[in-house]
Amino acid sequence: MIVDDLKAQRSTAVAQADRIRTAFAPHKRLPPELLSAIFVYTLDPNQPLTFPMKPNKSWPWPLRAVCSRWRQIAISDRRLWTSMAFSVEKWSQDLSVRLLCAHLCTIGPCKSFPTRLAIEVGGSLDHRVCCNQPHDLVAFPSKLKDLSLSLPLPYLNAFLASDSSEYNYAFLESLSIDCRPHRMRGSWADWDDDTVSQFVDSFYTSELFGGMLNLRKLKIKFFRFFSPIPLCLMEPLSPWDQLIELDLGGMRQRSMMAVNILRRCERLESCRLWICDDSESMEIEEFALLHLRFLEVTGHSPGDLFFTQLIAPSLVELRVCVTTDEHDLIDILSMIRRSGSSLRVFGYITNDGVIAMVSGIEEFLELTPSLVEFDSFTILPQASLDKLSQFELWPFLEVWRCGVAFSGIDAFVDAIKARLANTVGGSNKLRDVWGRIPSGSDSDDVRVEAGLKRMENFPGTYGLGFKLAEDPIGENSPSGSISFVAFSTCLGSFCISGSNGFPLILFCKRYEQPWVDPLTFRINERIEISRQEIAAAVPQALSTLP
Amino acid sequence: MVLLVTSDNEQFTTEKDIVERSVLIKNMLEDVGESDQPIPLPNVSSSVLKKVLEYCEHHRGEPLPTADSEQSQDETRKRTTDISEWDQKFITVDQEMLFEIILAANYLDIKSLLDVGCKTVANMIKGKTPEEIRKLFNIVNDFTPEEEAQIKKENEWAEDR
Repeated sequence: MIVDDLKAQRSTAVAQADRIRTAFAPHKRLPPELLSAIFVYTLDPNQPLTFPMKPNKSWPWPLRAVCSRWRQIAISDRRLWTSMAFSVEKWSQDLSVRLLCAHLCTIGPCKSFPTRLAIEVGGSLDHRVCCNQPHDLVAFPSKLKDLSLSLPLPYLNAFLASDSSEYNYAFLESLSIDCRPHRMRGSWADWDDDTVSQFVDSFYTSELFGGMLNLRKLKIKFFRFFSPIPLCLMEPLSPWDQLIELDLGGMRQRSMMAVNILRRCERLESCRLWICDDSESMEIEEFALLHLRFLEVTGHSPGDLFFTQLIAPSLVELRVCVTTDEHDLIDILSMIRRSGSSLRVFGYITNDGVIAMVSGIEEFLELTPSLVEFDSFTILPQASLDKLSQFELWPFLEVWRCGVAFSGIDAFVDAIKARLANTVGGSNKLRDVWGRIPSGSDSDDVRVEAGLKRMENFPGTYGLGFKLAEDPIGENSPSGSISFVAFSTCLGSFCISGSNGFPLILFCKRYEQPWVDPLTFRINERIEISRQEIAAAVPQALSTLP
Repeated sequence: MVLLVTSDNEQFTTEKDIVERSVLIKNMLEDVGESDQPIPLPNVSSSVLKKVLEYCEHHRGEPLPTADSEQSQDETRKRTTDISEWDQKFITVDQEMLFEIILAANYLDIKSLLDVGCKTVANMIKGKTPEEIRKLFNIVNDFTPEEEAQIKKENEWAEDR
């Protein structure tokens, strides 16, 4: 009896304490503006509010459902609701209605129209569902600054073909268009040539761009496994001359076509391209991009005319991924010489990852005294290593990543050590060194171990981060590179890479990935794939050839 | 040296360059000029001021945010909730003290400390369900039936159908 009584008293006291705790909860003392600031801090710019979603799971949605005060503060702060993403597996008739409702729910009393909107519809194309007006998906176009559309190609075509007078994108600063391969009988396939031609035609003739007076960034991503996109701008379209950033790194096209576009982009500061062999094209005339500071080119092959005709005097960062077996820097040297560019960052990644000396490297070293970052599989000649160690070359170098043959490990370590010891009074800023070595035999491992041993005190003594190791193909390729998969089979270690999409199909098949984006996807580990799997995948790969 | 008096009447003598990390106190000192008069801080208790001064002392000499940098910080603020190691250790306090520090930083106008406090609370909230947030901060679900209905409606549209 007494015990029960005490228990009851204890329960009452605990409940009372809880009430007091709640009543005096410290968060209650925060004024709305501080709570608002805290809410804004919870945002992750890479994670926009995503529909569809599980209720209360997509951030910052839960803030609306905590309590009345938090809800009022959350829905009144437009900063929380400026970025929305909408992702669905396939198109449906009520898609635009659903998206509109999602918009309306989000807008709330602060009239926070999203300024950043991403719409992604999976590649499954349902021919029974027509789409006359994909613009209806974009509920409030006139408020948008950043629009990203990832749609099946026919819908993108319809989007581009829309009448500009009906849709006002006057404040749009950034537009991203992404067309993916579509799913057919359970497999991914390229769009047929007719649909692709429609895309190209729509692009030539689209009136939409005419109304995008503030457009500064344009990204077009259109991956085809086997054929380049014949995007060729014969007529000047209005957005090009106002663009600051152009990203065509997700759309393989012939050099000639890329140059045709670039000629019209006079204000360009940043550019990504994916070009392919253009040996059959007519000669390209010299073209100048006077403001270009960043250039990334995937698919360059020595001998194509892209670099030999480019003049880019402001260029400070150049990243190149070569997809042929031939490697040389002759074309790039020609561009640097004619432009008088002062490169600070240079990346030169080869598709096959072969550790070798690239022709023209000595002259490149002499021509780029301002270089801060060098990232390549290229071996540096002994004479250049000596000059590097004495600060006669690249005196400002901070990141040094190059190829190192097994026989050159000692010389490489000597050069790094001399640079760090800095007996000549240079201004050493080296902070990241990676000697990329080929995969080799056990005896080579001994040399690597010895090299590593010599470098083991470098971090402690000089604060230097270093690696002396293999580089899985493409781990450090520029984004846009498609050479990224290092397969290890029962035959031993070998790489499949190149521009034919074959590794992708293998990978997708093995891991049942609905879609692996070759332009952003990275694999940093080796993958075991049996010969049987490869044999099974080959017919599928071949069947998608045109 | 500057003399500060807290809400619970405790006095703190501290160096000028430490205490001037507070824009409020800096302005006060500029207005008053050279004086031995104590500065009353009626909104800050001694235990909280002790923590605040610890923070100011650790960060003494660091440049104060200017109006321009604040504007650019506004953009980056939402991009990062990273907190330096020392600040993290410093702000590892009970919830009561955490909110008191935020309020004091706001009152004393110490931008960097306010950021550390807000980021810490943001990190506590981020990714949690409404129920988890309520539990964490002792918040009562006090929605009106109208609000409940509105939330339900919003979630219906949000769901994948």
